Amino acid sequence: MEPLDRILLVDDDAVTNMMHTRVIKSSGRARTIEVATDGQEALEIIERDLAAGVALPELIFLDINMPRMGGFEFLERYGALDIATNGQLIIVMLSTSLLLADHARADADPNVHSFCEKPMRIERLMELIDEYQRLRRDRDAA
Amino acid sequence: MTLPDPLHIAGPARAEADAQPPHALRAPTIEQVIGLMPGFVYVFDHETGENVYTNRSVGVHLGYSSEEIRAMGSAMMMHVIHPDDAPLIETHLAQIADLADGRQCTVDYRVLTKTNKVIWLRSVDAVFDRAANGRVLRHIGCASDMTVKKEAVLRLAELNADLEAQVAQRTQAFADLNTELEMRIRERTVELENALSELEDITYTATHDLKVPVNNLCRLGHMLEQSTDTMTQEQAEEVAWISTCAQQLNDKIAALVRISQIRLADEPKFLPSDLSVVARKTLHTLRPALVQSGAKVEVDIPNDSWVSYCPVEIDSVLEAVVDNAVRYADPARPARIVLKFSEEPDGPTLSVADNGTGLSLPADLPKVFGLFQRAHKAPHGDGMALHCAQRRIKRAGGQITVSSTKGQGAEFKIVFRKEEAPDGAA
Repeated sequence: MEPLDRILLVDDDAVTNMMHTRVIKSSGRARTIEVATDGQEALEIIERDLAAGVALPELIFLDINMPRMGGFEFLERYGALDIATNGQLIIVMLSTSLLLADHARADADPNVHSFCEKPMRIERLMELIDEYQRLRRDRDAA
Repeated sequence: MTLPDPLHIAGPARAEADAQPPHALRAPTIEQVIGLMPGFVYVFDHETGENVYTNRSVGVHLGYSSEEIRAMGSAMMMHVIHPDDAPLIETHLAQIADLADGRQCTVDYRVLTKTNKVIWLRSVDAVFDRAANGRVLRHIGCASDMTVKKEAVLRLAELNADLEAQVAQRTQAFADLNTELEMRIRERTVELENALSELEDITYTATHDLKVPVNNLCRLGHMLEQSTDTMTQEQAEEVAWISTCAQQLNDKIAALVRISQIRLADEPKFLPSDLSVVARKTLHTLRPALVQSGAKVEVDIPNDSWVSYCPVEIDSVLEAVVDNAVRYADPARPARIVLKFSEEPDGPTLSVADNGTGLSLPADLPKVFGLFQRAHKAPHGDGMALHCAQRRIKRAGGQITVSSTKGQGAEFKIVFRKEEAPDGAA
């Protein structure tokens, strides 16, 4: 199976980022892993890629509670960019939050694909990448 | 019937009238005057129990024909008086029998028309003449139709009664609501007391029960780190992560305990504090950080700037706000912090202004005071200090606000609750 080109991890917790980096590396399903430690930094990466005409990361794992710009604020700003990704980019919310309000808010956002409990297990990562690639194949075939 | 003799104008008035030339104005006769008066003028004979004179017929006014009036004869008045008011009239007649000359007595009563419609009359009566032994023979009176006025009064009384009933009903409703509210407050107080008790239990658990395994975990992490030379690189990394996570957990528990202590502590004890002294103490405590940052601090707080607050908490609040100014200094320019005291309408106010990195308000506001929230990525912080400061100030009846422009610095204002200055304080 062809690996993804790039996964973007957006989280302020250093240990979580290191663990997720190792999980992704051990899966062999992504060529590059990039880390942003808050929403603002992630937004800057996306804006930089758009300006340079570089393909956006296929998968973004987004934490909710971060300093400076949290996950939901990032989603607002990202939505305002109005990027026509055609499903080439999906955002997965990372959370340990038990708050139903957080889940409801994420579900209501059209740019959020799903939730993933953190720290992420390799099986869940594989499922998400399989799903992403299946959606992409279906869309390319259409 | 003509009026009885005493009613005729006599004496000088009559003599004057007779002396007038034919073309001169003549005094009107008493019949003329009485004929023009509204209402009924009558003379009632106490022997026969009937009117011996009326200026106009009450019977006609009540809708009866002359034949019907004649047929009723002397019993007419008793026939037309409302049965419920007959005792009133009897009492009234008895009062007239005892009435002194020149005095009047009045009675309001109802009569019925031929069609049984109720008419209210008011009679004002006086003794007309007496027998040689002083017994009243006849009385003279004037009856007026008071129906419109009386009905208005009655209607007003009804409305008043209705209004009073409504007021009573509302008062009762309020009383019921008040009782219900008091009951709910009592229930809610019990619930809150239970919740507080649970929170105290949780705090105790966090302080004691949870701290033990967390401390052990930290210790084990350190022990494993001592023997990483026998591990692979990956294993050594994982051990380091475990230590980091254990330390994070330890810090969070400590933070939560601090928060709950603010919530659970007894009411703050308010004592007079001189802010100029508190500020000097704060700057002394933060001296290492101030020296390291090279910040220039200006203090514009006169001696005897008294506020009323819990002394320990005021130190903590001021330290948090000044430390925040030091931490978020802008490396692009020399840091400058200004502490200023002023008496504002809301209460004594301490302003802490800096020329640091500033905030994007209002977007950053929840991050400034929110628990575990941070508006900046660097330097690292636990998102506790300003949250605790705000919580302490609010709990003591004050407020803490912030104004800022991104990139130009921020100003925090601590408004203390208003209090009279202590005796002898300036």
